[in-house]
Amino acid sequence: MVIEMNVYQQFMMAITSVVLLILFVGVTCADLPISATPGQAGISTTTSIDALGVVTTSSEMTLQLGSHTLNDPPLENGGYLSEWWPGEDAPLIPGYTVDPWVGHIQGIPLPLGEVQYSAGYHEEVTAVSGSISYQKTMSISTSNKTSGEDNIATDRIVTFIGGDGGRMTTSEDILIDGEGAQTVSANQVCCPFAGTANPFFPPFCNIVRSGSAADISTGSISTASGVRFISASADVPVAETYLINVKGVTGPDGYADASGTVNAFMNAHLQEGREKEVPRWYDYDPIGFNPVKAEALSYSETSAASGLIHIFTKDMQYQSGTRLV
Amino acid sequence: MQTSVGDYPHRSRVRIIVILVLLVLLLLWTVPVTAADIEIAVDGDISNWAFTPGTTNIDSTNITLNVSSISSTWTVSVKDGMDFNKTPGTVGRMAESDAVGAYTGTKVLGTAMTVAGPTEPTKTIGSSVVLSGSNQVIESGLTPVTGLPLPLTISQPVSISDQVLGGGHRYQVIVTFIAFAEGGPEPVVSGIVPAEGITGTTVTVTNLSGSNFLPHSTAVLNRTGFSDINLTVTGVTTPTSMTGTFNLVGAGVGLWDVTVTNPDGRTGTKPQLFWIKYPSAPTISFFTPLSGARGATKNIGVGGAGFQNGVAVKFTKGASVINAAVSQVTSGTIEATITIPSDGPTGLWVLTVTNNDGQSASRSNAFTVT
Repeated sequence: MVIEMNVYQQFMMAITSVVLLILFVGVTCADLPISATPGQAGISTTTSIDALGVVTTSSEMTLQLGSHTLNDPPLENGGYLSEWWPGEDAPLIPGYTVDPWVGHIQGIPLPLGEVQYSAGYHEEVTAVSGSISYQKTMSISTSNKTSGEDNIATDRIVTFIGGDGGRMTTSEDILIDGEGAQTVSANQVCCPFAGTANPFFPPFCNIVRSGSAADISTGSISTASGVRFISASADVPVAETYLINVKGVTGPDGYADASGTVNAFMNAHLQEGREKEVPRWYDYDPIGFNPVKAEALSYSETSAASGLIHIFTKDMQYQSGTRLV
Repeated sequence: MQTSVGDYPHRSRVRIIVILVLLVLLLLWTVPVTAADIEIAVDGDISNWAFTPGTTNIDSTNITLNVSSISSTWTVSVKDGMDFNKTPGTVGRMAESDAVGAYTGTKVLGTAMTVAGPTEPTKTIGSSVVLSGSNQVIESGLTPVTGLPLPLTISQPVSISDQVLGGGHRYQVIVTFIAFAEGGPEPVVSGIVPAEGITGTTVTVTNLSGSNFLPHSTAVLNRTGFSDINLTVTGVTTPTSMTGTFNLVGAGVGLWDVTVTNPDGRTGTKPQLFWIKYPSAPTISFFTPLSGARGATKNIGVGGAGFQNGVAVKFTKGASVINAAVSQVTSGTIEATITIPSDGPTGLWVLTVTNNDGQSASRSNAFTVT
C-alpha cells in the first residue's frame, strides 16, 4: 500500500500531459508527396466489441506507392542528365538540367525524379479476465489527399476493467518511410505564391515511426493515428500523427485511475539534400544542378508510466513539405 | 661576271691626307649564263676618290654597263667582290696593300659602299643598293635589249678619321657585276612569317622566304575555288625574301597555297603554307546526352563558343569514328544527330568539334556507348 501510494504520487506529478510536435520544413528539408495511381483503392472498417472474458484483435497493413517501379533501386533523378566543362582545362562535371533546349535535343518529356513511400500500421489487443469495450475505425485510401486528410487513419477507444488477475495488453504503431530522388519543382506546387527558387526539389530519405504499448489491469486508452503521403500537389505536406490518451475508468465504486504500464514513442531518422549548382563556363550554358546530402537528423523519444496512472497523454505530429499547415 | 676595282693610298703623317685613287680594272670579262643570251661590258672606271681633311668624304664615280641580251628576261646584279659572305648592309670592306703593293689584309670601313641604279624610270629598280656578299639586282628587263647603257653611280663614304686607314698604304674596293638571262632558276617558296592570319584583317608578312626571287617577283595566296589574294610588296625584295601585306577581308578560312611568280613567268608554290583562321578557336563547355546504345540514332547538343557554320562534330575511340550530321549551329550551340554503329566499341568516346578553318576543340570521356 505504501508502495502503491508512492507510485501513484510519482505519476500524478510526472505524467500529466506530454505533447510532441515535430515539424520539418525548409529549403533543404521537404518530403514530397506522391500522386495517386490511376486506379485507387479504399478500405474502411469499424469494430465494436463489448465483452467479458477473452478478446483478441489485430491489424496489420502495409501500403507502398512509387512514382516509378516499386523496389527497383537506385531511385532515378529528375531532369536531363548532361555534362559541363567550366573552363579550358576543367574536368567533366555531370549534372541535371531542366533547360528546354536540352529537352529539345533529348526529345523526351522532362523526367521527374523517382519517389517511393512505404507506410505501415500494426495493432494488437489481447484481453483476458475482464470487461472490455473496444471501438475502432480504420480507413485506408490510396487517393490523393489534401491537408487534414489521411491515407491511413485509425481511431480507437479501449476500456478494460480487469477481474481477478485480469490484464489487457495492446500495442500499436504507425510508420511512414519516404525516399525521393531529386525531382523537378516546376508544376508541382499549386499555390501561385509559393515560388520555387530552384528548378529541382532536393532528394530526401525520411522514416518516422510512432506508437504506443500498454499492459493494464484497468484503464481506458484512446489512440488516433494517421499518415498522409499521397497528394496531387506538393503544397500538401507529408504527415504522420499519433495521439494516445490514457486515463482511469468510472466504475460502481467511482472513478479509479488506470493501473498498469503505458509507453509511447516516436523515432525518426531524417536525411535531406540540397541542390548544388554546376559551375558553368559561359552564362548562356544551361543551368545544371547536382543533389548533395545536406542534413541528417536522428530523433528518438519515449515516455512511459507504470503504476496508477491518472492521465497519460502524448500527441506526436510529423509534417514535412514545401508548405506546412 | 665583270669586276671593277678601286684602290686608295693613304699617308697619315701629312696633315692633308691625299687619297690616291687608283682604279685598276683587275678583271674585265663577260660571263653569260648562256653565251648567246647576255653580255655586259664596263665602260669607265671607279675613280676620283680624294680625302678632304676634317670631314666625311663621299666620293662618287659613274660607270656605264652596256647590256645586251637576246632573252626576254634578264637581270644585272652587283655584289661586294671582297667578301661574298658579307651580311647585307654591313660596312664597306677594302683590300689593303703597302706602298710597294704588297697585300697586307682587308680593312672594314665604317660605312658601306652603295651602288645607285640607272636613271631611266622604266628600267631602274629604285634606290641604291648597299653592296653585300649577295647578289643585289640593280636592273632587270622583260624584253630583249641590245647595247642598253646602264649608267651607275658608285659611292663610298670614307672618313679621314677612320681608324682602319694606315699611313703609306693603298686601298682597293672591288665591285662585281653579274648578269642573268632567261634560264635562271624558278623561285622556290620555303616559308612565310607569320604563317597564319585572321580573316577580315590585314596581315603583315615580315618574311616570305625562299630562293631565286627577283625584284619584280609577285606573291599571292591561292586556293582552288577562291580568288587569289595578292601580296602588296612593301619592302625590298631580295633573292631570298619578300615582305608585304595580305588583305584578308572577305578571305575564306582554311589553308592556302603561297605562290611566287618571277618576272619571267616562272613560279614556285608551297601548298597549304598559309592558314587563314577565324579570330578564335571553338571551345566546348556543355554536352548532352551522356550516352547512347550501339545501333541507336541519337540527337546530341554541344554548348560552347566560337562555333561557325560548317562546323564538324565527331566522336572517336581509337580508330573508330562517328561523324555527326550537324543540323543547327549558333555561335554557342550545335545540334546534330549521330548513328552509333552496332559493332562500335563500347565505353568512353572523345568529342571533337572542328570549325571549317581547321581550328578545333576536344573533350575526352564525353560520350559513352553502351
